[in-house]
Amino acid sequence: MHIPDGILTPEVIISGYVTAGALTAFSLRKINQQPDPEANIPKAALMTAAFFVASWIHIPVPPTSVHLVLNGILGVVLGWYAVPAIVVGLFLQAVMFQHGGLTTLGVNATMMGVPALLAFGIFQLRNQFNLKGAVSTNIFAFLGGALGLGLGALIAFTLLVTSIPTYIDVATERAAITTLTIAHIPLAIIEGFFTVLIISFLLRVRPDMVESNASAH
Amino acid sequence: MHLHIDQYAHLDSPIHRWNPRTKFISLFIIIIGFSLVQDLRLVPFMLLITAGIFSASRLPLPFLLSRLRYPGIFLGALIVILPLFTGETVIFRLGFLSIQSEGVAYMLLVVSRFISILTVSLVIFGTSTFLTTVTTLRSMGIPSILADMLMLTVRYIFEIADSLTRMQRAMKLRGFQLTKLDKRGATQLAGLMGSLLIRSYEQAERVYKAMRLRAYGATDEDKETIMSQKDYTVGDIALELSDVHFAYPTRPPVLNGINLSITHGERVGLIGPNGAGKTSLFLSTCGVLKPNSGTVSAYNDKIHSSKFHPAIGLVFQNSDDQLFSPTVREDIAFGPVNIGLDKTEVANRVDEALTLTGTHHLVERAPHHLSGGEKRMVSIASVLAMRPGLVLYDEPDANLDMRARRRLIQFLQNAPHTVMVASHDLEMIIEVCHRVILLDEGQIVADGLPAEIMGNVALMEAHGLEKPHSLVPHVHPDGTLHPSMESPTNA
Repeated sequence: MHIPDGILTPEVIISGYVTAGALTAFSLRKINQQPDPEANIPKAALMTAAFFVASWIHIPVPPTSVHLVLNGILGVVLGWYAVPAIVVGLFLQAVMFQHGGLTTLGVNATMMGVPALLAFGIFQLRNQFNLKGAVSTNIFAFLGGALGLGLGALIAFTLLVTSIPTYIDVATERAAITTLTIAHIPLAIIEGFFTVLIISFLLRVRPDMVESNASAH
Repeated sequence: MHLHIDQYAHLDSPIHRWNPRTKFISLFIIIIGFSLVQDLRLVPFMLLITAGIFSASRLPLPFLLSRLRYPGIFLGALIVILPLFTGETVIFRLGFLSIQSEGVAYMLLVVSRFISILTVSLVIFGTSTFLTTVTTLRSMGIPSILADMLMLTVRYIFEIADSLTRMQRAMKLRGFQLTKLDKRGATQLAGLMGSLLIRSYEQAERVYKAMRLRAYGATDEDKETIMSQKDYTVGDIALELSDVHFAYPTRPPVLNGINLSITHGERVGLIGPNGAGKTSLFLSTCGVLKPNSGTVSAYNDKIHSSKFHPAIGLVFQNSDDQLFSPTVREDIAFGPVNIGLDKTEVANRVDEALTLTGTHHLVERAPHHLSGGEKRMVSIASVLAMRPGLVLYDEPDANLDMRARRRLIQFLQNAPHTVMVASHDLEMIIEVCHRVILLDEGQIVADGLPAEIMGNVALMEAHGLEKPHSLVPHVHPDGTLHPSMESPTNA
């Protein structure tokens, strides 16, 4: 789900940078309001590296295999640091692997960052309403993970389909976006399912990793 | 997987020699210009400019081609899909498939833009070291949080990738092989990812402690204190602990009323079984942990937790927690830069630390490429660059081979500062230290001469330790004593 260079129109590229810039600035403002903003920088950086590496793990879905995006769980664990982490991660992916690109960095960061913050917000609801039982935690984790991928896919396909001059009418364009997004529902379910499993694991072994952002609104 | 985008940064070309900031801005403007190209007639010019920039950079063509491998899949899909599904004017028909001229034109435009942008990006990042790129970005005003995160992410990504490989190998050796997604397999995979995240999270906590101990986030007040730092002289009280108690939340106490005094120039060994409280004592001593009660002072200054204290340095058990910069030079300079020293003084401090530890030849190397022994000496150098009076060494010879261990011992024997070394290597303690403290269950149970304490079999065994081999007379099978062992205190 990384849009490469060369496809998007200049308007979309500029809008992507403006949106990602605003999201990053807002997140950094929230981070700087914390009592010791520097304390979590190493944590955010190493978690960025860990998410980067964990997303290489193949999940076998015969006849192929998929990689997790992990932006939902990144939002839950890193809170406001999620957007800077995504910007750094995408920049490195573009530079090191040529996944995504420099001109599309803003668009890709928005596409991944908005769902990550949404997942963070969803998990905040769990804490806010004290719904910390196993079932409700699993539901919030699933929603965070699945929406993280689903919303990202929806944004990506909308941008791709509307950027390519297909000489087709609006209804067909809408159908294309819907079809592509629906085709990603199984992947969103897998992402949500794994988010549940990983969050459960973290809550058993290092609960503070999940709970420490509880008061970080 | 080859992550090193800057592997040809050492080449010489007009673009390599270009000022990094000007290069970044100029080439980025060209990239933006390429993304604006909408007319197919401009494509040859775009490709010509790209070819010119690439050839001027003298980067090898195979390097560019290898970088096209991953995006090549996407590129291939565009080459096939766009001519088939985009446009109205059919130029070729094969059964139900038709190729449209608009689609072909658009495909050529997109593919050319893609290749041009990717090539110029490669020239930007391939002709300077990654460190230079990050420094350039920082000088262009990217927020310091992003710049710090970028540096640390790059530093640790290799290590975390290695960690994943080791974990996957260990799982395979225990029969884990996932060919389809069932509940058990998914749970194990999620466990693998969760473990990776937890390991990274815990390492980040240690890295942060190491950064703080080298003045990361030092306030102006801290800097003033450091600037007024006086020389240490023999006879000074280097460390004084008075009735120090510490317990982690909801756990039994790990330090139970520690009273201790060390004078400047002493070399003190700290021994004790696992869980005795050695590392907690070190962390409380240098202000990383806040004692529940009692006082700690170094060179007559009270140690406050979470504040930086230039008089005390800590060498961590795992050097990777301590070496967080992209090169050895940057790592050693990290502390001096944080305390606000000027460039010349930073360079002097780096040079001095490299000389003391004999690591001049490693100065431009990346810390994660060093051997265990080299990492250890560089991590010591990074602490010495802060000119501490007292250095705490936590298991400094862990995982070192014999040659590296010997080098470390020789360094510690001649160390120009007060040494406190915690280790299970009692032979090393005998060689290095004048004094030994035996710690168990958070209490000092013995404090004195190494040969007296470690030669006391009853005392050592009562606290889960063994008398060191060099203090045990070696008896031959015929019952005679080995000549070198005739005096049991020869250590």
